[in-house]
Formats: sequence, C-alpha cells, structure tokens
Amino acid sequence: MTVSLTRQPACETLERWQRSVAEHKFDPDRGPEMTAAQQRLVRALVRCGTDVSAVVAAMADGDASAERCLLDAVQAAPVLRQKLSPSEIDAPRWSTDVMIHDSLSASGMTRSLASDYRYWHLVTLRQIQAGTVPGGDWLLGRRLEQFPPLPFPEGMLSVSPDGLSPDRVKDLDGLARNVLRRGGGIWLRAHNFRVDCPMALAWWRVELARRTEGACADVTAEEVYSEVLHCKEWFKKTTRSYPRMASPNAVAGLVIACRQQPDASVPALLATLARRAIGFDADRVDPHVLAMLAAED
Amino acid sequence: MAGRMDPTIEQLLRSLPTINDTEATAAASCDWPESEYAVFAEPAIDPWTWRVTHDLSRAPGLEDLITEGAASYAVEVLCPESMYREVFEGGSCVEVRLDEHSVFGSLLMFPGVVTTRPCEMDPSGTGWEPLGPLGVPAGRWLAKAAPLTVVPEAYDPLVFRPRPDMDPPHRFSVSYSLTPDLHFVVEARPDRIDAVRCGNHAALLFCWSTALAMMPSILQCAVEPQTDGSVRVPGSRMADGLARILLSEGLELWDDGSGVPCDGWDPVAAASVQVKVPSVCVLGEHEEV
Repeated sequence: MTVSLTRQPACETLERWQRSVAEHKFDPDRGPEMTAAQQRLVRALVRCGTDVSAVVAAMADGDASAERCLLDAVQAAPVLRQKLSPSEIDAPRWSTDVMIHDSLSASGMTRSLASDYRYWHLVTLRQIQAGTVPGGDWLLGRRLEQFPPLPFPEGMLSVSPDGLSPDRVKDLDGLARNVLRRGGGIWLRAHNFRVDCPMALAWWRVELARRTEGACADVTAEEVYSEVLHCKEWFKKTTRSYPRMASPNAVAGLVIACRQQPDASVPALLATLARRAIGFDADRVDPHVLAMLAAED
Repeated sequence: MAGRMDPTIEQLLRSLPTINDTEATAAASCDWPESEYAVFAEPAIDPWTWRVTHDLSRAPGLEDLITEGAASYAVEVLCPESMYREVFEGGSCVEVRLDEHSVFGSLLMFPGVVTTRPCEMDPSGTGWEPLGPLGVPAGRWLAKAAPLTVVPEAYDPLVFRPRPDMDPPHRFSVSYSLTPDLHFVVEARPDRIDAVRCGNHAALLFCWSTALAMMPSILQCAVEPQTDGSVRVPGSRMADGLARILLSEGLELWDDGSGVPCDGWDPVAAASVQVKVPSVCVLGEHEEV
C-alpha cells in the first residue's frame, strides 16, 4: 500500500537499460549501439571508487529525471554494516553471510524486495557508494590489485564500436554480461539472480537456512546452509521446477537425507523427493520420513 | 533403505481414490465418476486477500471425511519467485490472506481437499470399493482442482497524469476518481510531473496531504466500526487498506463512523505514513528513515 517512491521507477529504468546492454544471444553482426552502451558501462566502472554517478548516468541513458530517480533509489537502499573483501564475497562463509543478511534485513530488506533482481542492482550500487564492497573492479571480476582491471586494453573502451574487432566485441559483451550477473542478475535469466549475484545468494542462503531451522529441531541453520544451500542447482530447481521443495520442512528432510547419504548429490535427492512428494503436503510429514522418501529404493 | 518400506511411507505413497484436475485432460482422475468439484476465487476488499470457494458434491467418501473433520478444504499458495509456500485451510470458503512482504510476482493457487489427521476413508463408489476402508495419513491431497494464477494488482493509489496543456504552466491539481476504486490523480505539465514522481519527497508529501484531506467528503470512504473493535470501509478497498494502516500507526481516521468528519483527522500526518521524507545524511552513512 505504501507508495514506492523512487524504487519502482528506478527498477523500471534498470530493466529498460539492461535490455539495451545485453541481448538473448550474442550476435556478431549487431549494430554499434549495444557495444557503445557496454563500453560506457565498463568505462564507468573502471576505477570508479565510491562514485557511482557515472554508472547511474550510463543506466539512465541521457534521461535526467531517470538519473535523479536512480540516484535517490540507490541512496535509499540498505547498507552493510561492515566492509567486505573480494574473497569474503566470492568465497562465502556462514558468519559473513549472516552479517550480510542481518545488515540488509535490519534496514528493510524483505523477501519481496529480495526477490526482485533489479532491486539487487540498487543494493549493489549502494554498497559501492558506501565503500562496503570493493567498487567497480569487484563487479568487473578483478580479483587482485596486481591484475589489470580488464581482460583487454583499456583504450578499447574509448574507440568507436565500428573500430573494434569481432573478438574484442565479444570479449566486451561477455564482460558486460558478467557485470550484470554479479550486480544483481541479468534480465534474460532473471530467475537465476540468486545464484549469479553473490550478495543475493548470501541473503537467501541465510534466510532459508533460518526458516528451516525453525521447522525441525534436528537441523541447525548452519547445517542447512552448508549441506543443501551451497548447491546452486538447488536454487535453480526449486525456483523453476519444484517450488514446493523450498518449504522449510522439505528442506529439513533434504538436509537429513544428505546427512544419511553423504555420497548422494543434492540435485538427485531433490528430484527424488519432489517426485515422490507430489501427492501430499510435505509440511505435515516428519522431515525424517521425507529423508527416507528422498532415497531411491 | 532397500527392501524395507516404513508403513508411514507406504501410506504416503499408496494409491488412493482422488479427484485430480491438475493434469492434462487425459491424465486427470476422478475416482468418483458422478462427483463434481468446482472452485471459484475472488479478491476480497483487502488487496492481499482472496476468498476461494469450493463446491464438492457426489464424492461421499471425501465429503464424509470433511464432515468428520478428518479432511479440510484447503488452498496451497506458491510464489516461485519469492520461494514462498503456505497452505490455507477452512470451510468451503477458504480465506487466503498474504503478507505482501513475502511474495513477489505472480502466485499459483492450488485448491483442494487435504487430510488433517490419520483417518479411514470409505471408498464406496470407486474402484477401491472391494478393499474396504482405506487408511489415509495426515497430509494426503485427496482432491485437487485446476490451479489458478493470480497476479496481485500493482494498484497505485496516487496516479500522475501529465497534462501538456496545463495553464498556467506551474499549476498542479489533485482530484479523485472512483473507478475502478478510489484513487487520487495529480495533474501537471509533464516536466513538473516527473520532478515530483521521481524523487521530490516534499512535493510528494504535499500531493498526498492534499489528496487525503478530501477523504471526509468522499461518500465511499464512510467508515463502519465493527463489533470486534476493528473498522471496515466497504465502499473502497483502497480506503479500507489505508484505514488499517493508519490505525496501526496510532492515527485517527477521517471518519469515526458517525458520518461526521473527525476533528482529529490530520491528513499531513496520514500522508507522512505514505511518504517518509528522508533526513539529510552524509554520503556513505546510513540512517533509518
């Protein structure tokens, strides 16, 4: 009921802009506009520090009111209470992810907001602005200071798109897509944002782990986090194919199954449980029984 | 695990008479050939509430379980995008009330009949009849109607309408409309509309204050106090939802049910519930607003 002031128009702007920066399949014969938009994005990210204004300007594509709107929405997004290093983001641990989850949730992150890949882009930009994540280089995938920020000469970002070789256009395209994925998710695979965006993945892992812990005394949140929710395939399958399997009781059953069958893969156990649980409400069945159902006879 | 079936698992997986309308026509099952099962869903006055009505007849084994309390009409709600799932139970009219902060995008509703405790079903009239009473564990879906896809309305109570011919150019106007439900319309020239819509909190607060000041004079916003101490606004879903929010914030409403506007109605305070004007903060610091 409360009006979303700038968030909704900002999200709409982001989605429109993403469509101009990435297409379904890379087309080597495409016109120069998309390549130019990608150059602008990467140029804005290289050494941007905590100043995201150039990134936002690239997203607004010349529309001054949209740019103001985006900046306001970024400013209104929640901030982490501690700084993260690149390795903390890309090699997550329970304690780090708890900090990410609790910081963002304390500042208003809800399940609804956290389900919108566009909102995660605003959150990521806010962290860059606040200095809690290592800036544009992290989004570009630069791991260590001694590596160059880009996998190609920086001068390539300033030449006319028509002057770039097909290989360079493809390199740039790949880099731009990675930026979109890591920043919050890419529009053409929006349902995968949880596995593409490290911060989103952190939040959701802790969120679901804690809900599962509440459903079953035998299972701790940390165990859920490490036994099941480390598996990106679990996220993909429960979002697209087995939405019922995201319920806390079903997740608890899967954790117990993993404990009892350490050699079995999570996707295989998930598929078996989803198939066998189709005729009943998994929330009314003891997770230990669900664990047995997840095992093939 | 191999070779041993826990009795509970056996009961969970055993074949039972069901009504299943969720599959494609060829695979749909209806083990009571004469039965009819229809479901109808309609939104309630609250934008996050639906009423799902079940109409089941001529499936005596199922109906008996419902009458005994061993089974219940239910609606399973899935929101794949927010990984949300909940089952709502009730009588033949099940109220589904969602938390707007838990869902995102479209919802799938699977109405059906589910057992609420272990019980025995009489399979008379079905192909299981020769087997006699069948043990059924809690949680078995014995009927499932075709799923419903629901997209919660992205209802905006404040709408901005650009008027290129607004004269003089600096003018703003705020009015209200009742179609399809109460909403307020802010009109101004396009360049001024965007300035308000996209981030000018103070101007937005002003628009809301002006809009809400009209509430006492809108007939459809008449408040009806309820016996349980709550209030309803039957004439408008938007106003009904707004009343609930304002009361939870400790604010007086525009109408106390007597038909006389309340002295304590403060449209600016009410508007500040909708529009939280942020404080000025130093870049890099985070403050709650």
